[in-house]
Amino acid sequence: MSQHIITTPREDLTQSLREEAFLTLLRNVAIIGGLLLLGGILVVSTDNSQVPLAIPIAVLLLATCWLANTIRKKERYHLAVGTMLAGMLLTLTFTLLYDPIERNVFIFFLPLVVVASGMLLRPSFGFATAACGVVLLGFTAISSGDGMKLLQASFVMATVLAFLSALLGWRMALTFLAAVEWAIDSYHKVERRESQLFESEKRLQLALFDKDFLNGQLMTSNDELDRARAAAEDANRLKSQFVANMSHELRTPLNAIIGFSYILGQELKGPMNQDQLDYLKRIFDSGEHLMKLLNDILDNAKLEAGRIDLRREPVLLDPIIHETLMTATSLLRDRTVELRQAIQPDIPPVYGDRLRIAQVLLNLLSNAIKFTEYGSITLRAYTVPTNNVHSILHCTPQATASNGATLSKTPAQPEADGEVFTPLWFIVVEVIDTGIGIADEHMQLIFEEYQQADAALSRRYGGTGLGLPISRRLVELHGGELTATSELARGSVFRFSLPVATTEQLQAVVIEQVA
Amino acid sequence: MTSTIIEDAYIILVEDDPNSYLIAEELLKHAGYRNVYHRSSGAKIIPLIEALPQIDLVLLDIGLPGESGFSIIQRLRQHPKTANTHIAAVTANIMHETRLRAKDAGFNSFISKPIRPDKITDQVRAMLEGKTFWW
Repeated sequence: MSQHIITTPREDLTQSLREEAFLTLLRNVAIIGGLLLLGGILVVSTDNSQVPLAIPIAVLLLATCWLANTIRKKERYHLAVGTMLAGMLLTLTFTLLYDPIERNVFIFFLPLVVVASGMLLRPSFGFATAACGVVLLGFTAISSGDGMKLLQASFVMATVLAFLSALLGWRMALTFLAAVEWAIDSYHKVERRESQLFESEKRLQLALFDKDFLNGQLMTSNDELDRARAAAEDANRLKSQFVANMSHELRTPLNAIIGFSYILGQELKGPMNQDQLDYLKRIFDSGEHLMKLLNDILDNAKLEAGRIDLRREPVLLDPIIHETLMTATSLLRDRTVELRQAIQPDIPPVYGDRLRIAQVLLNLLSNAIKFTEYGSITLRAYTVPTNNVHSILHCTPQATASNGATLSKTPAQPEADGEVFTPLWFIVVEVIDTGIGIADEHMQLIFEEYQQADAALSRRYGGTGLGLPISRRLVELHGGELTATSELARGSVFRFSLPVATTEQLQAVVIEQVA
Repeated sequence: MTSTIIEDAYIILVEDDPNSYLIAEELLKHAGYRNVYHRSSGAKIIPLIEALPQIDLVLLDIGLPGESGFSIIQRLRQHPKTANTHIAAVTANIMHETRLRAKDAGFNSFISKPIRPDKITDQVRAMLEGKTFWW
């Protein structure tokens, strides 16, 4: 292998194939030489009168093989091939010394050398070798006095054969080279495909690695998210717990303030002058206000923590309305606002928590009273079929309030103790006032926690900003809705729906009472 | 109510917060009730019951430190003098479960804390007349 020569892959391959062929030729010639030598020795051993031709030929061939092989081992390929071919030609020429040209059969081996030179060196070399061999043979024949015999048929035939072989060898070598080229092209294609495949595999592995990495990141993120959520939930729980504890701790001293200022204000401990009574009233009122605030904050914290549980039962609205109206009347004081009620006769019981319903109703009434200086506040309550509730809560059938700003989420699905029921009827309660009204842009705000429509209003009218959000949530817990419509300087309408108690719910109470 | 004059009723307040007790006692006494007694825990309640001729109403705080109102009412119900007495649970814990538990424990009424100074005398009168409060 001529590895020290930097060649193109095609030449490399051709060369390696030639070297293979050369080695085969070398071996075969050596074997033939060996066999000839053996045969010659056998002939000599039986009849030693004359040394047969086979022995010198065999010696010449073996010597040629040895010499060529030695050169080949030194990686001088062309020289080795040249030596080999020259040796073989010499051997052929040598035969002429024994067998004259007219009966020499060895000259027909010339084509073999010609083909070999074409194959092993260069396609066109076959012609040179053929010419060289013919000249050599001819020269030998002439020098030994057989010049005229060259024109005899056998030598002419050998010559023609040699040149035909050269032609054939040339053609074969070209075909061979074309085949090699094709093989090389295929090899290149395979190599390219292999490298493409390798690239693809590399990319695939990179992608897989990326995927693993991303998966890892995703899992880390998920873990972090879980931790953050757990922390947030903990924080919220702690906040609710804190708020609950704090309001309890704050309420105890507040009770003392309210209680003792009440006792003194009632003059249970002796008469008070007008200023003292006025101040005691202020202490009492402030205490009550603070108490309301605390209760609202506590309610809101519970609602946020989902810890308000309704004590639902069939509830008659009339006594609740009656009681809240009584309280509302006391809130009116000396204002000339007319409190009206328009309750549908024989209104059926709703399914709800009477304390919470009263809380919502009182909140809406006290809001109305707070913002109404003249005119009237009307409380309406009437039964509505379930499929009409939505349209009533989300539009303005009355002329009193017509700006159509409705504020509600999707109709809540009423849920009671895990079981869903769909009542056939709802009761809609409306609190209609002729007060200052609410501007459109404030409509959203009033239902948000700790928000009031206007900072100036909150200073003038007080309040916690929690009443409406709490009321809305309480109504939604009942499966109802709380909405509002309003017109500035004309008044507001707040309305909410509550599910009418179903027959099953009423029967459950009867069974309970019997049991 | 066994007495014909309502102001003669015997009322026991079990309440650990001295302010709450003072306010309630002051208001009840002003309303005319002559026999209002106070204990700040369940410890000495049985001797008090035995010392009194009758007991018409017990306002029992559920969230007492030490022995809870739920435990005290059990002992009261076992005593013949208070087996059928009107006993009201007084608590700031107005959760529904507490209400249900109070009902199961044998309370007759449930009054949420804080006691309303302007309402307590009316509530006491109503309870003495046999009404119950559950919300």
